[in-house]
Amino acid sequence: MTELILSDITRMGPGFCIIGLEQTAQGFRSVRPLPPVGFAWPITFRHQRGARLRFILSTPPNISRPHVEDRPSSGAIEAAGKESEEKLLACLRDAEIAEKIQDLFGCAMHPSPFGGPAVWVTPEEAVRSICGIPIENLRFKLYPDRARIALTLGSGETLRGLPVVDRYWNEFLEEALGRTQGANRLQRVEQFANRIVRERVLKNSSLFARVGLPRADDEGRCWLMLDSLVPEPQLAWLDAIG
Amino acid sequence: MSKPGEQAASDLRRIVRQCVGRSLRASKTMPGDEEDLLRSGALDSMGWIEVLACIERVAGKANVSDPRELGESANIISLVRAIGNAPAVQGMSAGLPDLGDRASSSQVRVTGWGNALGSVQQEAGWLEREYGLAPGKLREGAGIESVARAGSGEDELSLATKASEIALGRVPADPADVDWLITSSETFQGFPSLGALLHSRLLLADTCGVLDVGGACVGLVNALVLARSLLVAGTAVRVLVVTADAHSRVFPPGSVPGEFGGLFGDGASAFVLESLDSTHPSSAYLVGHFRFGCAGAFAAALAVRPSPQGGVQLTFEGEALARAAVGQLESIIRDLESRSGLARDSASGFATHQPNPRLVELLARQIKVPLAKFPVVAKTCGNLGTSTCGVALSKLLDNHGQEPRNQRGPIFLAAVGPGMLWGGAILY
Repeated sequence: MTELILSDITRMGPGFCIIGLEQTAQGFRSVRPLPPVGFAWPITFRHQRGARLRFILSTPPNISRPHVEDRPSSGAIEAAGKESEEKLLACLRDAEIAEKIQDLFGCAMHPSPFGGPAVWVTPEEAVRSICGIPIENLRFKLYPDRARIALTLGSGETLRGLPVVDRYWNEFLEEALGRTQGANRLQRVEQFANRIVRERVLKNSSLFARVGLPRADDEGRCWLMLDSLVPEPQLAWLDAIG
Repeated sequence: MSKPGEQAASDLRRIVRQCVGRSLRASKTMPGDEEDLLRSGALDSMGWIEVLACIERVAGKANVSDPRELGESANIISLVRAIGNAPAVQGMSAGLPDLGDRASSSQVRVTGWGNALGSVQQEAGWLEREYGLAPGKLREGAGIESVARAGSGEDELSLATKASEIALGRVPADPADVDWLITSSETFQGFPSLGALLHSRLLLADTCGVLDVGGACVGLVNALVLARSLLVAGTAVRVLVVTADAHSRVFPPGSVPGEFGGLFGDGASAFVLESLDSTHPSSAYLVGHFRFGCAGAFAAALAVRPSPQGGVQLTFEGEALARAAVGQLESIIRDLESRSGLARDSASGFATHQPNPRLVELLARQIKVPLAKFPVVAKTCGNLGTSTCGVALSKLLDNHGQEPRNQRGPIFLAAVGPGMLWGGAILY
């Protein structure tokens, strides 16, 4: 049995991709337990970020970059408690971490061929598919079925156009949209997110992001995405929606 | 020959097709106008959002609606319609007349403002000791009671960020809607420039341009005239102007004579300027006339440059500089008065450079206006360089920026800097 602290729950098709932190002699490392079939856990996956879970993991016969954290599991999960966000953050800071963009995945970033601000990496060059990074600012951009985010890193660099796949932030933004009626809903919720929510997030001392890489697209590009944004959004913040 | 409306529709369609073309999956050919780009597999969800972002960027539009939100198909026709309904952000080429080119307005308003000061307040006595000055040299001689200095972790960027967030918080627009960022600092050194760093820190739009302008103590006025030019030309609807200085980092005790280094403090100011046709409070101050020049006869009175041995090489003829500065500031105000037809007696205040408090008192006496019309900056914060004028203006706008137009008067800006560069402006 391997015990993991569940650190990232991200949307993947109709289900979730999950990542946990495994304690090592040096600190923590990220492990992506895979369900018995496919890459995504079903929508009924009931565990929350911070949960201590036990898995029976195996090493896949051929690990392919950049998803070197993949570990097939039997799907048998045993819960063994839950860590606070503060403790989880301490563990995340003791896991894979970068100060600069070039250190995120140990490889070169490529600009979007479409002219937008999003960046991608070549799968074969990336040494991992998840990494934490301190951030100093953020700004959301909402689309009907997907949110994107721009981040200012502690290094002063920016990452823009990152798809937000963090389960909690997606659910929060969807709830905000659900509570907003009338014209220009997206623009109004975006403004709410970039003013009131952003202000509360930036005041939080545990500001941290985990940036991940999805499976490569048809053209062989792995686009950077936001796997997790700490702190988690609070439903009470939605009371400020006018 | 096509009619203007037909030409515009054709231009919109061309932009949409170009944006779609850039994001098409490798194996796909350009779809027809009515084909659903997602259902047909021409685009994946990532590509679809790239198309929306591309359209906003190329067409100069803000928040182009996703047609699917309106229950429409994800096709080219719906996208063309969505562009037509979106508000314009940035000026477009003359070939796209109906894409939302703003009619250039000769009127520009100050809709947001803010300032930030170094968090450590150093008393004059402490400064006199640190800079090896005779007791009373700063307090009695220059009239400085205290100086605001950056604390640990504070620098030009952090002060600029704080001032900018206060200024942007006053306007309904999102920082992503700022078209240009113009910064000025007399202490920031190195690259990326202060403007580039601030752009990233504030997460301004990736299509927001950056200008770093010089001028030292005239830097704010230089930045304001550039902002006004961009707005009047229709190149922008919203410009953020920021000054920031951290003198304590470049003039620490021992690096320059105390009579000079002890005068300076650390601070920042920020202003949001918008063209008249954008959303704004009706009482906002308008940006009026400018005056600029260079009085080279006094250029030798102040020179600051890097020393070949490291550190700072300084030429500072305090008395000559003071005489020239006060005379020039008076001249700027007189010229602005003549040019605008607005009398100094009617002014709500004077946001001038304040080399030291004694010179502010002298200027007030010479132009015969109450000293109370000069916001207190140098006396409690020190000479803030590029930001002196800005912090003074920000304080005046705190007091008068939201008063009804008929209950407040103009604000005169006047500044002098090494060279001797000079510049002034009037807000009304």
